[in-house]
Amino acid sequence: MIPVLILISIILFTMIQFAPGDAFTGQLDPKVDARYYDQMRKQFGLDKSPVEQYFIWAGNFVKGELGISFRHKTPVSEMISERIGNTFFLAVCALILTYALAVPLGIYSAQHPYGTVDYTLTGTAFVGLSMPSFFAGILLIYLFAFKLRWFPSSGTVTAGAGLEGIALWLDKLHHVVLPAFTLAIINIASYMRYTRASVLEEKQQDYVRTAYAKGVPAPLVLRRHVLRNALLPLVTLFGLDLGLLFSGAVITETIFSWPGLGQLLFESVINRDYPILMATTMLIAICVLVGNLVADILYGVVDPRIRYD
Amino acid sequence: MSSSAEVILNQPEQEPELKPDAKGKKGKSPFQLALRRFVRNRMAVSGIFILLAVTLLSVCAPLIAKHDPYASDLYNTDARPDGKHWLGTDDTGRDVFSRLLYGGRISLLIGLLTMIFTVLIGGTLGAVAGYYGKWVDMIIMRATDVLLTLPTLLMFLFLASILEKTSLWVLIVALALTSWATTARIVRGQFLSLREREFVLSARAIGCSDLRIIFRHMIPNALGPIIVNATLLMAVMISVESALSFLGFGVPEPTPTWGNMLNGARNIRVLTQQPWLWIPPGMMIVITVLAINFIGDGLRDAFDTRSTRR
Repeated sequence: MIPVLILISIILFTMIQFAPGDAFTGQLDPKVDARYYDQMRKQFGLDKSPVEQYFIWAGNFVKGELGISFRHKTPVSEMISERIGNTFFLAVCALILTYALAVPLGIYSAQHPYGTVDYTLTGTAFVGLSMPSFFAGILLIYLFAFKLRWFPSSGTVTAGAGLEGIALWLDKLHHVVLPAFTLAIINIASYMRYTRASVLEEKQQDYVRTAYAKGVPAPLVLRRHVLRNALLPLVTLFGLDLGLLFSGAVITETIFSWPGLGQLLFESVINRDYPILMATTMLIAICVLVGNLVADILYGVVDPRIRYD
Repeated sequence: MSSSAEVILNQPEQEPELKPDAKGKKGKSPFQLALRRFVRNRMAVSGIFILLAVTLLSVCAPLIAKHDPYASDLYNTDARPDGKHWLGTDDTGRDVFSRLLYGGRISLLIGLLTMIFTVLIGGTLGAVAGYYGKWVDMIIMRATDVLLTLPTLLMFLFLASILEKTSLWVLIVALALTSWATTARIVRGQFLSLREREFVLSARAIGCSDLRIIFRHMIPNALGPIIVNATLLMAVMISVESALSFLGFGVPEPTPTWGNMLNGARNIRVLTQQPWLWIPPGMMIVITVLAINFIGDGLRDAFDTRSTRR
């Protein structure tokens, strides 16, 4: 895990070295003395050799110092900590939405296979998997924020409302519905298909027939035997999908003006603000690797048949 | 669902079909059997027809759309759909219907070419890793680790911040360079298991060269999962291209692509007041990706592979 992280940081850092110009090239103002820019470059350490710069960056990164934004001239760590809560809230809501919708619908499909509801759900899941999340997002804004006016289309809270306590949280929830659903759409579809396939397969197992044969009532067979085995792997899926969640967050947060990490990353791409870009990308890489690790460990925990040597 | 990924059972479903029949003709090859299973799959076949229809519409764009997709008509901007402009005009007075059809050409081309490049890069690296093993395998697998950790879109955004300007070809090459990892993993997995099979051992025993073993004996046997992966890749690439163009990092304007046309919807006025500008290209993306996914799923069932979750 650590070697992969180091490798990623080296590759990203090397890529930045090939970038034409730097953060100040775009802001060149003929009225400002050229020495000012040289001084700024020195201040940001851009006059040193690339290798030196990398080691300085890596040393600071390990210490938790993520550098200073070229554009905003504020510490990157501050900007990230301001926004990470919003992304976390959005991601958690999306995950809750995913499991709350995908699992019951998937089970229902598997319990009534090849019926009208099953075909409708499976068809919808196919469309959900095939729809780019940004298109889903703007469709939702058009339908539910503009036409029906049920939900707001941007921000995390109503600006200037001065809400507190429960009212504030309700307002936040009201704002998170559309972005969370946009972010969750692909996972809802894919987990639903997974649940359906998994339950259908498990229902054909011998132990299920045995359970029926010895007279266990059907709901109990489903709960105790089928679902336990069919749904366990589902617990670990989100750990593997963390990368998708993050790339989805970049798009979703940009569309819904959601002040989170994804929006920060996207802005840093536009502004060529490499300290921010480097820090957010590395943060995402760490999250994805930790997610994969957690998924592996959880899989071993929930399924005793799996052993890691 | 079994998690034993990357297993191919290219064997015929019934034994007798492999035997020569009474007339002495050869039996059906695994590929013919897969093809027959594929043709029986209604969803997959309808996917083929939808994709053909979309391709035909795009290729025959000059015959159907009467307006130049690049020509601005500054006296007729933001027009509503009518008899002359079926889907209205955009903010510079270009005919949206023409752009929709011509845009399909670019979007499909990007999907197809990126898929081909990705499969070539991933296939070659995966084959080399699986065939030679040892340190070659180690290096290539570390590279896939890196690429799989960062999603294609993020990798590409990172690239986009560095590249001065993107063009169609830069986009295609950059997308292929950032997304070959899954293909490489699949091919490597195939090669690892094929390497130990008897027919490969005997080929080696009679002195076949590495290249001959790889191309004559191993690749044909690994083709099922590769084809499935390639098909689904094309769907992903069309989707990723549209997302990038939507964000403003895809094919530069004024080239019409479905993603570029959706880019207009980032403007709240276009989004709320002129849905005819962005809903049609969005629908085209959904329909195309859906059709390709149907085909991919059909192929997976036909080849009986379970190489990917979705």
